[in-house]
Amino acid sequence: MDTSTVTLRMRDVTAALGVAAEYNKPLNRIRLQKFVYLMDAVTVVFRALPPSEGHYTFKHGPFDPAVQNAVDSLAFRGLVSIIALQKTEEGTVFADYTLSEAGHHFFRKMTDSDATASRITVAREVAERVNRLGWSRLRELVYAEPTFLKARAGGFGRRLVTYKGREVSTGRLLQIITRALSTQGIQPSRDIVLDAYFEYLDEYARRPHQTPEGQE
Amino acid sequence: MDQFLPEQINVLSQVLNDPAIVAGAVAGVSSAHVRRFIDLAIRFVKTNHAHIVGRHFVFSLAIDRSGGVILTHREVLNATAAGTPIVAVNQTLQLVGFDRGDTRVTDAEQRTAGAPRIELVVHGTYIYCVAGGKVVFEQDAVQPEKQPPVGIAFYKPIGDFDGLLKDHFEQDLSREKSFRFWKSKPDRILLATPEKTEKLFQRALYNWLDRYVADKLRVVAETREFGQDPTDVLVITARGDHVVEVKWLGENENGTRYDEKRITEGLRQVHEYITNDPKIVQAHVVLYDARSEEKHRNNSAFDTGCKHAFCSDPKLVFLPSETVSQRATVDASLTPSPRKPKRAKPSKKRTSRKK
Repeated sequence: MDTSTVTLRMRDVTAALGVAAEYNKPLNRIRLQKFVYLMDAVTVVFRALPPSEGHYTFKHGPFDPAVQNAVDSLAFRGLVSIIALQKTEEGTVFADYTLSEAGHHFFRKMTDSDATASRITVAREVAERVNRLGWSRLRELVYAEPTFLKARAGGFGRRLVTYKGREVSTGRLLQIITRALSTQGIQPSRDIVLDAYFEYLDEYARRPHQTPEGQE
Repeated sequence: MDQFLPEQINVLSQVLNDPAIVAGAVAGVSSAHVRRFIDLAIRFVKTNHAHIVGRHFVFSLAIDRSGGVILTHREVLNATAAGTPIVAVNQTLQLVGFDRGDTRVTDAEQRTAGAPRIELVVHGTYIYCVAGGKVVFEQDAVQPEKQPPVGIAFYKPIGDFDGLLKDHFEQDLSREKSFRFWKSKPDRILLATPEKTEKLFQRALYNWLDRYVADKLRVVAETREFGQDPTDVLVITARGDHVVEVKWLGENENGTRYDEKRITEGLRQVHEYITNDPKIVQAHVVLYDARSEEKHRNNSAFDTGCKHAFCSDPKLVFLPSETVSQRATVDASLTPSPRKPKRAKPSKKRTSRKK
C-alpha cells in the first residue's frame, strides 16, 4: 500500500476523531470507516477529490485498509487512545477510538494549517449533519449512499468511486441537487446542498428493509 | 449513462420539494433553521386558531436574532390591531419585533424577491410560505388535508407534454375553471391586471406541471434577469431539463396586441435557451390564443428556420369564450402550419440566455 495514502488517511482519521470528540462521540473501527467514507463522498462539494485509493465493498460496509492502518499508526504514536476494548467469543476485537491529549493538540494544529484545515471543514460539515440525524444512524446513511447501494449487490471487493458524475453515485446526485436548487443561474450554498444530500440519505434509509442487520 | 432507481428518484424529488430545503436555498439560510421556523409557526397557528380566527398577519424569519419572549396569540392580536402585522421572529419563534406592511401573498412575494428573506403569510388558519418572490408551499395548519384534491388520473410523464397540456386545458382553462383570464368574453379581450397577461397563464401552467408531471424532480418558474416577469417554466428531471416558453396571442385590456409573429418570436427565444444551456433536452412553446377562431385557424404560421431540433412544434391553445364555448377545444393538432424560413437560422454563438 502506498505510504502517502496512509499519511492522507492519518489526516482524515485525526479530522474524523477530532470532530466526533466535539460531540463527545468516540468512533469504533467500523463507524470510523463509515464516517471517513461519507467525508470522501461529499468532498466534491468542496471542489476537491478524496484519495485516489479509497474504499471497497466489504463485510460491514465500505472499507479502506488505509484507514485502519492510519488509526493503528496514530495509536502507536500516542495520538489516538483505544478505549472500551472488548473481545467476543469468536475472537473479534471491538474498540472505540478517540484522540489522546497529544492527538487533540495535533488536531488543533491541523485546524490552523492551510494544508489541512479544509479537510477538517469537510469532517465538521459531515459531523454536524450526522449529529442532527443521530450517530447511531451512521450505518444506515452509508447504506443509502448511491455508489455503495449499487456496488453492494456485486459482492465484496468492489471499488467505490463516489465522485463519478456519469454513474449512479453521490457525485451525480450532488450535481442534480445543485442544478435543481439553482435559481436564476445562482447555485445554492454548500450548506443547502449538503442538507439536501443528507436528507436524501436519511429519507432513503427510512424506507423499509434498506439496511441489512449487522455490526455498526 | 446509468440511471437511478425509481425509488431513488422518488426520494430525491421529495427532498428537492421539501419547503425547508427550497426556501433555504432561495434565501441562503440553513434548512434546519427554516424547518424549525415552519414547524413552530404551524404549531402556533394550530394551537391558537380559536384566538386568531380571521386574522391576517405575517411571520418574518429573523435568523439568529435574540428574541425577547415566546410569541403568544396576544402579541399577534395586538399587532394586527395596531396595523403592524409583520411579526419578526427568530427560528424558535421568539418575538423580535413588529413592522407595518400588507399581508397579501403578492406583498410577501415582492418583499422576498431578491432578498434573503422568508415569510409565512397567515390567513386565518391557512399558511403560505414565501421565499425568493414565490410561494414555496401552502397548507392549512389545522386541516392539512384541505389541500387541493389530487387527481391521480392527471399524472403524466413530461414526455407526454401534449397529454399534460390537454388536461391543463380541460381542468384549468375550460370555462375559466381555475382562474379568470377574460376581461370581456364576447370581445375576446384578456385581463392584464392585477398581473400581466403572460404571468396569468404562466402561473397556471406552472401550477399544473408542478402538480402533475410524474417524473419531475422539481418544477421551477424561472425569473428573468433585470427583474422582468417570470415567463418560462423549467421541469427538471433526472434525464435532463425541459423548458416551456409561455406566450399569448390576441388583445388584452391594455390594448396590447400580439399576432402570429409572436409564435416565431417564441421559437427564436427557445432556440437561444437550448443553444446556451446543454442541460435542456426538450423545449416547448405554448401560446394561449385569444384571437378569433378564424384567425386561430388561418393565421398561425411560423418560421420553421427558427425552430431548434430539440423544440417541439408550437402548441396553440385556443381559449374558449362564451360565444364559442360550445365549439372550443384545444386544437386537435395543437400545431399551426409551418412556413418556409424567411430568415437565416439564429447564430449558434453562445449569448446571454435571458433577454
